[in-house]
Amino acid sequence: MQHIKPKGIDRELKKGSAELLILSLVESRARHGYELCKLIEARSGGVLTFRAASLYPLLYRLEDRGWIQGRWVEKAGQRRRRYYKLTPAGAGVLASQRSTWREFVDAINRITGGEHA
Amino acid sequence: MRDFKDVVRRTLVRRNLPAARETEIVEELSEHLEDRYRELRARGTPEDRADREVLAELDATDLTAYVARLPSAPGPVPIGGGSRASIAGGLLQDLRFGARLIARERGAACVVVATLSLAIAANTIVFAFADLLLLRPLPLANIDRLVAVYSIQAQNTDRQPDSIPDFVDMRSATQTLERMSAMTRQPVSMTGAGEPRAINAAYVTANHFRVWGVSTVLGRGFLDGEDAHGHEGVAVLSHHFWKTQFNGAESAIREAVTLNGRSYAVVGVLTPAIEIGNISQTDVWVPLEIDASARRDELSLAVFALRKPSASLEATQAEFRALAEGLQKEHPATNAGRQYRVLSGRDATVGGSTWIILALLAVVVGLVLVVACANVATVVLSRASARHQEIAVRIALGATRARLVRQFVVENLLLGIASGAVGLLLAYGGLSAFKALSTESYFQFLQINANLLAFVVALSIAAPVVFGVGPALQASKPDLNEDLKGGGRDGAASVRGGRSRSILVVAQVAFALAVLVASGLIVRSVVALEHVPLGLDAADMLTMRVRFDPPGYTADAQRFRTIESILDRLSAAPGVAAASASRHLPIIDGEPSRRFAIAGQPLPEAKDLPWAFEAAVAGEYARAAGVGLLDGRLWRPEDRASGWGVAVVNREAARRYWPARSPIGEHVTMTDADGRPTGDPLTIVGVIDNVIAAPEAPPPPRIYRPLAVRPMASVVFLIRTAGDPGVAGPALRSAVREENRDLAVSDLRPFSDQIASELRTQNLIMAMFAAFAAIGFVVAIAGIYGVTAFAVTQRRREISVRLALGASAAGMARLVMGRSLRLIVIGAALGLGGAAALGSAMRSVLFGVPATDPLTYAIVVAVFTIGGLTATYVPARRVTSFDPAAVLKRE
Repeated sequence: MQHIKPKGIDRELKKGSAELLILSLVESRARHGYELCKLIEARSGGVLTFRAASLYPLLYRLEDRGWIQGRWVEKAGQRRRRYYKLTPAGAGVLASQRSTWREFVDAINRITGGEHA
Repeated sequence: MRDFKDVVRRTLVRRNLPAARETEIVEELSEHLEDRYRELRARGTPEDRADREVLAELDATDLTAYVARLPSAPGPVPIGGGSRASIAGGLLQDLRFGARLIARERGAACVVVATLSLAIAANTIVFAFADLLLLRPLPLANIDRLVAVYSIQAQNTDRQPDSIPDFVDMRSATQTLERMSAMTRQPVSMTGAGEPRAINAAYVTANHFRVWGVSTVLGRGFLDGEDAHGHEGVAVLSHHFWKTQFNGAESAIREAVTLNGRSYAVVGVLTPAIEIGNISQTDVWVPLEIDASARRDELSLAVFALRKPSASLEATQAEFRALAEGLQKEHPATNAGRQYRVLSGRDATVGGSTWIILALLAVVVGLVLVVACANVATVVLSRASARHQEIAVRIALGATRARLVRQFVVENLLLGIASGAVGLLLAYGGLSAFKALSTESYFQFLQINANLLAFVVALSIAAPVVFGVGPALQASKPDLNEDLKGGGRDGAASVRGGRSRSILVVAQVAFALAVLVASGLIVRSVVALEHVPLGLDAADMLTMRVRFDPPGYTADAQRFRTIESILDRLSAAPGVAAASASRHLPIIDGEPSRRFAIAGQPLPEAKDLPWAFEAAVAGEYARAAGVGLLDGRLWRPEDRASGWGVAVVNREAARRYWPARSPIGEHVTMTDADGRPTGDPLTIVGVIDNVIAAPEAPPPPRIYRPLAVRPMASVVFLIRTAGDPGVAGPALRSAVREENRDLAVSDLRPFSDQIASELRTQNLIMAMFAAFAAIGFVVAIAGIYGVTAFAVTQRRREISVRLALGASAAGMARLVMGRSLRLIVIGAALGLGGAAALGSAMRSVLFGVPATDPLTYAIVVAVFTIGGLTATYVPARRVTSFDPAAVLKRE
């Protein structure tokens, strides 16, 4: 996969995996939108980036589905931000998406890795 | 750094998102962009490049695609005219938007629906009465030309029946009426068909049904000549009597009924449509034989007539005024002061005081409706104030004022329809309860019909629309500069709205207070009526009526022997402490008023002779009725020897006619209306305590005479029971049975029940006034609460600033309360003025309480003070929980 340029990752793949990324990132604790952006960029080593115009609609969609919940929080010395946390329903979806993703990656690996074996 | 909020807003603005959602998205996204910009700048990116990169963050279809799917709120606003289709579509959109807003602001909607539905229910109930009494067509074919002729005495306007000779004179003299009929009702004994029983007969002239224009469902009415002397007896049955007595069999018209021993051939059955009001109590109709030699001072006939098509009601009235004057001159002893009153058939079916009560109820519920509508207008204004920013945005986007007003009106319409539906249900419940509690058969005809439904629909549409347009016009005229700046919560719009709200609160308090005072006066009147001392002991007293009709009883001596024998049997019956017989049931039945001359006093003119109600009693009357014998005695067996030439007078007669001395031993002679003696002098042997004749009048003078002198066909037995009156009942019935199996016994029941049912209608009317007043009060208090609570919310920034500057919370609460209380005081002052006007208008229906009754006023003012203080204190107290720092930061 090295020769696939990061920015050229297929739109659909990115869209499908984006939900998984967000759900995973808010699993341990509630995070706000900008934080999510920075985390995705940092942890993917700059391979994955989100623009605000893509991230927020995704957050709202997940929220509409009841998988995450946004709440305005005012922390001492900071400005008010909207924090998203995983809901019980979202946790269920995350678990199932994770296993699907693993199966998918395993399958791909078995196919693509077979020639190296 | 540029204003990213503005950038985001411009990206979203064409989408018309719901305001709250848009605000959130704008805030969240703009923060993100600001964070990004700061970060880029911190890394050393030049300003213009950072700016470009940040703007690129928004450059994606995802956001617009997402936003496009969100439900858009205030809809695309049509600018300018628009086709008919788009107007209809817009209306549908208004409806949808209105419904959504109402669902969102459930609290306010509930307040509006609750208050408005109560007011609509109250108005609907009163309208149901008006519908029954005034609007519904009477089942009389000739109603347009039908008139009723009453006698009235100059000094009061009570409608009285006419005398038979007067009727004969009217009938021969009138030029404006073409047919006159007369009716008199009388209970009779029916025998020959199972148990003997007392039934109600109406004696009518042969043309009566044709004058009324009522038809028979079976057979025929009376033919001319059937009311002539010596004609064989014929009878027409009422529909309900035919159903119960003859099982509705068509063969009934070949049968006969025996009334007071005389046989009447049944010739027809009357339509059931006629069975309204007290006419429904009539079981059988028989011809009335007009005896021109009857007494002119006995008023017994209800007279009806048909106006000639050429004569107006006014012409008839004028004719009968002249006629009355002629008869006054001709028969001064009987007709002095007697006038005739000609009423249209419609007016005749509604009692005189019914009009006043109905009008008063209409005023009261009308005021309640005004209070409720003022409340609705307050809520609308408050919501409009809270929405002024939304309205300003919509106007800036090109919405016309008409379009905004339409939106408001549509919202109110939805609330009105919901209130109408709830109100109809409440009215149905109220009417059902009234019917269940009322003893008047007429009120059983109260119903929810097309008239009523139309009224409710009209009210639920008109009230909210009319009261919504004013606030809507005001709200749709915002100060764009102020309102668009945002944060203008204390701005000009709410000041303007505040003034209107203040006026509405003042109006609510004023109207509700007037309603409360008027209803309070009615309640006090009815309570006073109930507490009028009767003069006798109604507890543990049973009464029953027994008829001594022909053919079994034709002679007075024979009747009296039977009465004495029954009294003996009753006195010996178990559970009976004392038994007596009377010609009339005290208080409930009217007694005849008689004139008399006092021996040894100069004889005045006939019209100035002393008068008294004449009662005729036998047995232990004083003990049985529980009336104190103040002096002397009642009848003794020895009085029989003197031909019963004895009498007892009551305390009032003694006070009036024998002031400062005892009447015992005095002699009086009963006279006719012309002052001619009608019998031998009577010796007064006792003085008995007063018994009232009607709750609303002081006890009249009364003269008691032995029943033996002139026993009537109908006698009432009064029995004081020693224990449970329920136990004595069967014993009384069997005592009469043992005497004669053919005697018709009726109305065996406790006297207290009969007094209570006399007052039942008044109690129901009182309950209605009280309920309507309570509704008015609750609605007004809800209005005061709403306005104060709204003021606290609107002024929280101002209050917070003051609190931050060191003002005390208690002081702020006082400030808020003070403003509301000032409005209440102004409203109360106006309301007291209105109440005084209303009170003086209703003076004629008040009893035992002056129109300016200080207690009523004091209670109403106290109730309002407590209610008003509570309604302002509860919301004002919220001020003390304000955290000025938090409020100011948020704003």
